[in-house]
Amino acid sequence: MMPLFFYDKVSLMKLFYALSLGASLLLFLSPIIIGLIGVVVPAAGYFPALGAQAVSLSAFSDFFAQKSAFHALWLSLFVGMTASLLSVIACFSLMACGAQAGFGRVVLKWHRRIMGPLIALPHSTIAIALLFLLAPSGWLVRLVSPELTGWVRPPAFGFVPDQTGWLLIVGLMMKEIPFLLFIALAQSQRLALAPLQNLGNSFGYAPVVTWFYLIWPQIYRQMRLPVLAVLAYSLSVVDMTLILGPGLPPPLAVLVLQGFYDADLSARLPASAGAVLQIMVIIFAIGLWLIGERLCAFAMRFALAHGARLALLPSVISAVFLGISGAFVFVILGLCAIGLWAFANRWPFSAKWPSDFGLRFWQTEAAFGTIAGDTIVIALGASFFSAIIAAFWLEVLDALKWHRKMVIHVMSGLLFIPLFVPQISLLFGLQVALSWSYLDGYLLTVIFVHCLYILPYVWLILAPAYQGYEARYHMMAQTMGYGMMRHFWQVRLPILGHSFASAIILGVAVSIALYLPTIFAGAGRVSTITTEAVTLAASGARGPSAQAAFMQMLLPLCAFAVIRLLLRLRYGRFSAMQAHHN
Amino acid sequence: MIQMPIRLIIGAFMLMLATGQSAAMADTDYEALLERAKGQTVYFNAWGGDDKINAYIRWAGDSIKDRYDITLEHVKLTDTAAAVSRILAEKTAGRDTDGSVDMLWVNGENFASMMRADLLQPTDWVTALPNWRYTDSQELPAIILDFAVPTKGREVPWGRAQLAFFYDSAYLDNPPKDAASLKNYIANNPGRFTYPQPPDFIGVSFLKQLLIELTDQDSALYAPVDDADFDAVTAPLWAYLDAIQPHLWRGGSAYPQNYPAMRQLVADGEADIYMAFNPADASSAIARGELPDTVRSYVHDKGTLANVHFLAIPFNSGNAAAAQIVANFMLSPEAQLRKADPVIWGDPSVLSIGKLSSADSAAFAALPKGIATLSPADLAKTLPEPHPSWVPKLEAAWAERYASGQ
Repeated sequence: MMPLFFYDKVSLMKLFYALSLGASLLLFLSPIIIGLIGVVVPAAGYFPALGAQAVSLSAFSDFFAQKSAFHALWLSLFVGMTASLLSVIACFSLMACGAQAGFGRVVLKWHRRIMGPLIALPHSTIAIALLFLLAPSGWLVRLVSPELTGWVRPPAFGFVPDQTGWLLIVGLMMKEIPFLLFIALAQSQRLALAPLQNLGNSFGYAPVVTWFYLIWPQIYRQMRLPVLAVLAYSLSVVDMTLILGPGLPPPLAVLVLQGFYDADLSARLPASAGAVLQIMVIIFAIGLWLIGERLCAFAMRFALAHGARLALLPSVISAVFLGISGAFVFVILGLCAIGLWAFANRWPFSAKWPSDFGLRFWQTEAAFGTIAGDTIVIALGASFFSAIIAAFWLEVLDALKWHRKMVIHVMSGLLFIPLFVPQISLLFGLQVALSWSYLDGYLLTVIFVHCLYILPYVWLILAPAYQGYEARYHMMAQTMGYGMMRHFWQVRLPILGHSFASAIILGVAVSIALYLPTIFAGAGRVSTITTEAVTLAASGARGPSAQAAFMQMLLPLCAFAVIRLLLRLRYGRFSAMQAHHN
Repeated sequence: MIQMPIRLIIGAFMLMLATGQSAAMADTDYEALLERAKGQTVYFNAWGGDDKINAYIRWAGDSIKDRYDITLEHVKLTDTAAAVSRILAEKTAGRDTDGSVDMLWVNGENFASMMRADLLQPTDWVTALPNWRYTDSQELPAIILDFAVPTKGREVPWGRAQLAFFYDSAYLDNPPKDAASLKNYIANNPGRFTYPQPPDFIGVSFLKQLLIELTDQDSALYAPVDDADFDAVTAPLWAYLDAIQPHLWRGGSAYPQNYPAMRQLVADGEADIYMAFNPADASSAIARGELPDTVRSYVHDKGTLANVHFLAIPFNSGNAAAAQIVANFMLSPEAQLRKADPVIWGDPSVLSIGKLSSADSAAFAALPKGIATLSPADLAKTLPEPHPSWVPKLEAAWAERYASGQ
């Protein structure tokens, strides 16, 4: 009897675990499903509140009746694909530099230092930095005028905002390269690189070429989902486009947003059709990307089989590296310009520095304190909650002995869905559902919606950390009679502390930058520093937008410092055990 | 289409209500309203792109909290249509109570489309407000006619606006005061003029200003657009824009997003002229150090567009009582006086000076004009707003010509 009863209890537990896993996953995916319904239905011509009740494809034909629709489609594809491809190449080049001994490794380390904080910056901040630096009346022109240029007024020509889309591509790259580098470094630390590197070197390949042939494919395989998320984001970016252009005509996502914001309410129908098209564009681009991946892999194998030495590769990489470093110098200068404007009372052209520093903007915007507080509460709340949920899922998978890579892959795929569906396509449906359920406008709702966008990243860091966790620690804990919770708190968490910290840091950065989901879930009642910054940046006045962008820079950095400090104080003594996992 | 007859019936019913002209609210009714409003929070959705306006709303919120125990939360919008969109989502979801928007800063096209979709409080609550007695719709008909659409007491007038132009006298001696001389100016000063990109409110208003000046069929503009030959009426406008396009800022390949962005361009010297729906805009910007004190204002010789902006309460607000108290406060001589002060906002009052107490009218008379603001006599010539149905047509035609990249 006894063993049978015991067996039953275990299988009951397992059933409970499996059910709670499924239920919580469904809870997280439900907003996506509701959001999709909410955009497909009006796109099909059904919108009772506007008196549209006949199902038809007229919303699509109305959308394409706009003269700029095709151009917008093309622009989205061009900007999204180019920015993602160049970001991956840049990430690859920076990583490859690290494969070179000496100088290259130092350079990579230096880039890591600078890029760490850059991950935390929202897209809009980077766009504002580029604008403040590169506009005809920007800091760059001020620094050299009138001495070098003879200009006492800004020139009448300029390239910000830019209609070709290249400036937007550069802006996107400045945001995505640090992110991809962060992920790539996290993945590469888990691979045993030295033997592979030695193997290639012993065949007489240059270190960079060895790295390219043997190591890069393994790293890339691990970071595929984030790369596709970058692609999906770049195809549907809104906030950066509004600041850097192109605006005449805009890419698809902005065209759709304009439709949703049109004073003529019937414009909502073609806008919904555009939002559905946006999803199709992303699916198409991902397909194209996967085909490209295959072709590259094929070319690489072909080159390897023929022993191509790729003698040019090191110099190509160095050139790319120099270009990127230059671009980042620009971003950092732009961030400095934001700092100056945030404290400038007056800064007429062509003065190099503000003629009068002061705190005027900070005194008028007294509400910043509450907004900063709410931002931190939402960011930390959503990040910790996401980490707890991810840990719960991983513990459950562990208890169920579902260790197979398949399970992890399927979970990753499901969790990344929110990142593949453009925010603009989800929002109307989500708004309807939230207002129907009276859930909008609460801090908790905003936190929950933020979790949708944070969880995939948290999962991306924690799942491999769990996979790499030394099973013997677990067994030892079990022999000492530790239950799941006790093992987690006293053994797992201290050892994986750094992974949890990275996950939460990334979560905080993602949360602080979220714009549209905050607006829609918060019903405009919940303001964060980013919603404030976008409103103020849209005002076009430099002082207020600099002030908001400055807060956007400062908040994540403070959050980081606090998390790092906590980690050191609480778990510093486990550093030797953590070494295996970093 | 099925709903059309129903809408017509509702419209006819509303018209009957409106012509019935409710008398001012009895004191006891107002007391009851105050009682109900106590402790409520009003989410005031208003464009938040100008920090001087935001500061004024913050002041109003503090005063209202002290006096009526009502909390005023300013929901800062980048575009009023975002709030209209949210109210529409709520109507779609069947959320008829406790909506997320309690009060909205609105006029023109947004008001007209909210009326069409029945998104506003369905009664005349405006003329019943105690402070309505300070207004005079005979003297200023625009307070009951929003872009030629009768307001029917669905929105309370908040401020007056008149299109004014601003230039830096350090670079420019004689600003161009009509469409023709503006065209010459632009051709002779390439890259120094632009206007906000339609559908921005000021951008579309600039198009309407030009259209009124250029077309010889003015009367058609004050009737629904479907009654007119749009192409024929607007042909002179497009010919004009085609001519100036290559000489605009950035060769017309980009436009600023809104008027504060243009103000920044003038502050930096990138552009020579900007425009705003507030004759005192430059004076207050100079006072705040955002513009050099050499900036001055002017209006076109034929007059410039003038309109009134309003406060409305959505159909599903759960705090309509408090929102009415807030609206009444915003209409008070005290709040209107502060709003008209060019150092604070400089938005002209909607009240009738003749109906104010002698102390209040003296206070209005004593308001500083501001270094860059024209006298009331210079601002006397105004042009009424065309029928709102012209706006979407103008926006679409502009986008087709200048925003499609072909």
